[in-house]
Amino acid sequence: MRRKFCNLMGKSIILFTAFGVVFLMFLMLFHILSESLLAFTEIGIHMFLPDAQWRPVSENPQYGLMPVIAGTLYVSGLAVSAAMVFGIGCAVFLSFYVPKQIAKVLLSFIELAAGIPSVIFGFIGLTVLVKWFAGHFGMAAGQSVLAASIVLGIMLLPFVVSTCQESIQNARNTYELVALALGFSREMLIVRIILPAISKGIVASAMMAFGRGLGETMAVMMVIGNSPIYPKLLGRAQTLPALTALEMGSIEYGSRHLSVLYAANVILLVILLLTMVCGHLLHRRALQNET
Amino acid sequence: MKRKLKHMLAGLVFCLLGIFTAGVTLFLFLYVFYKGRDVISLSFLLDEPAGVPVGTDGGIFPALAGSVYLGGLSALMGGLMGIGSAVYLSFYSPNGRFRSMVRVSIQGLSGIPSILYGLVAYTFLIYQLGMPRSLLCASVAVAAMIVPFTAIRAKKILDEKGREYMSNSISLGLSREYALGRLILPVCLAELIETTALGMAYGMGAVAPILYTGAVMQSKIPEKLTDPFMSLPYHLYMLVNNGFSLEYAYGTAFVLMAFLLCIHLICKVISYFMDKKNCNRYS
Amino acid sequence: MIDIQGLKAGFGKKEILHNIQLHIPADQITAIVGQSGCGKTTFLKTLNRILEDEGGYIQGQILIKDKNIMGMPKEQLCKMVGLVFQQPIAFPFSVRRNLSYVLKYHNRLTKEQLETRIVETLKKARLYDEVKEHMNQSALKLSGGQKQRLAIARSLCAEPEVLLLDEPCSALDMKNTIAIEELLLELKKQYTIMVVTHNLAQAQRIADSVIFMDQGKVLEMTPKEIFFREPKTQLAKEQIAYM
Repeated sequence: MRRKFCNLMGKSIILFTAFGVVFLMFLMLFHILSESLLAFTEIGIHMFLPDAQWRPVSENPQYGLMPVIAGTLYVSGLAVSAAMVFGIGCAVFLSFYVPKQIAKVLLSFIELAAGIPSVIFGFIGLTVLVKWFAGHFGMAAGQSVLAASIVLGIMLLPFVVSTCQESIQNARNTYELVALALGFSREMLIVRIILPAISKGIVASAMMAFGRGLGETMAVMMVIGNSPIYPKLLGRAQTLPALTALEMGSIEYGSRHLSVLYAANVILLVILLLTMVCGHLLHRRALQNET
Repeated sequence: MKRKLKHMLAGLVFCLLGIFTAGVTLFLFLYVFYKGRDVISLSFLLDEPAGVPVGTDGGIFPALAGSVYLGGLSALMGGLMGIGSAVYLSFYSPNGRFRSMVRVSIQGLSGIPSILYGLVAYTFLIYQLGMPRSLLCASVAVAAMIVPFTAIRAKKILDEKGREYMSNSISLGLSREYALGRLILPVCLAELIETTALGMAYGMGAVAPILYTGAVMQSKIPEKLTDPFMSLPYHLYMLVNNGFSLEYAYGTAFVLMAFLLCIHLICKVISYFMDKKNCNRYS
Repeated sequence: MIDIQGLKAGFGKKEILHNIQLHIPADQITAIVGQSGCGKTTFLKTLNRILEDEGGYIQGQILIKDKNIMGMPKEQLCKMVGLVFQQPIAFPFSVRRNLSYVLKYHNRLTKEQLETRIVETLKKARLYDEVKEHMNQSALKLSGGQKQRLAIARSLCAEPEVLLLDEPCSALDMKNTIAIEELLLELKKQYTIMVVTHNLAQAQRIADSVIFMDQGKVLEMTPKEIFFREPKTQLAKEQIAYM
């Protein structure tokens, strides 16, 4: 009798949590969609006209999201490309040029950096990068797309390094002995065999890193300058999550402005979904190729 | 000759990239610890913030305590939800429609940016449900954020260690709940706690979900769940963003980073020893 | 004892077992032989329906002691039909707790009763003499053969009526194999036993009757003597010729 009761309790707790997760997901989606409904019905396409500006609080408000969307893609794209170059280089360096023990220590250091909260990245970016830019590029404040991309790129590095390192290790186990037996040099092995073999996996992890970069809020917000204009490398710009974080606190609930912010996040989620699905498919194909 | 040069060049490029990356990572740690070391004192850790504007003098104790409260509460809620749903995915109904719904939900939640948890908690909990800006409200937002974090890792642990135990237990005529309670959860306990602790560290470092849902610039240590609270990362953000005191910002960053690093290091050490123990066991 | 009518089973769209009809008598050892991948293990897993927990489906009628198992509660079925997996898993407890873990669930026992049951079961599984000194040591330290007998002992704790074993000797050396075989011959006095094996010689040593399977179908179900003397199918003939 007691046993039956315990079983039932355990089962209901587990079912409850599983239901909770599904409920949470639906709640988030439903809430985001329902809050953004107002913007989509009342403003609609005007949000996405390329020359509409973001002037939500002026007399004659305009809610052009295109500059911000462009800023988001620009910053994230730049950051991912930088992170991929350095990340792959670092992964190769760690697997081929460093003794195993030291590589292990360095790798765990780099992975530890993934645990640094984004505010601290933003803070360091602000006190080091932005200050330096202001002094050397003759910019008014130094806050720029470039600074944001560098900070974001550094944030993505641990993820990129550890995924690349893993797939290099896999490829190495398959090919290294054969290649060396054929008389390949180490560099030829890396450039001709290992890198092509893991290229699909690299693209997949770049997609996932891109997805992470799109959603990053605090670090980007602190160094990008927060001006909702079309992004230029050395100019200020704005990203969707930073825009949300900056403005959500000061708007009235139920206003059109808030609804547009929700609509902006719907767009962000759609972009995220597309990258995630692409990344996932590529990842699966890469896994199939490796085995 | 030319080929040799090319190879040397390629090697050099890889080395430079690698050293640069490792250097940047080391720099992050060293910079914060170097800059913050002068501010740290016992009174900085244990006093309340003071000065005008607030935060430019005194200490950060309420922020430290608030972060611990927030981390604890959200780890409790998020960890339970995450581990529970991971158990469901690993051991219950191998191919039902509900199961794939749970799986997709976890995947989806893991992709949602942290700011959206803040935004939804802000409008849903505060405006629609009428909760005050409070510790509870912020904890719920953070908990929702760490649910997928813990669920994905917990599922991996349970799948690796628990599958065989579960099918063996079932074919002995035992119930799943008995096998979970007596065998599988105790065996995985250390790792599950480790996962929850990592989730806690992740949640404690986040600013976006607590931005408008409960964190404030000055408050006492929260006594009730409905009190607003101070939090380290939020405090740091406000100090930097409003340009109050760079000095104190370095100190706060130092404390925040040291605290989170401690959690990570403890987890690393535990898992290292667990691995060692397991190696001894199975060899 | 076990009556099977029109059994089909598989995963998703892939059917692994096609329309199996069988009758298995009580208190005998029935060996299931066939090549790897012919569905032997899947067949065993249908008998306690653990296949469903692994994501498969089962159709048809299976009667054990005239009770249809498809309608039976899972726990009751798994208690009645014990299954020992190919890879012997020792739970990461002491040897004693490996058994008390099962005993405590199925019975309400005092400490003394529990202890006598543990010793009794270990003796039945011919493990007691080897482990009586270290009942409190971790079961993970046992050897492969000991782990296999521990797994059998654990199944006996549930007091099954049918005992299913999936290649119990595949990872064991000669000495341990003989120990397990002798154990099975003794256990058949009390239990209906089905053993999956790909080793025809083993089937000849211990079985009373033989089921010969290939590609998800039962080709033969005959007493051992007949099967080894005059197999009906060409495939079985070839394989016996190789012995």
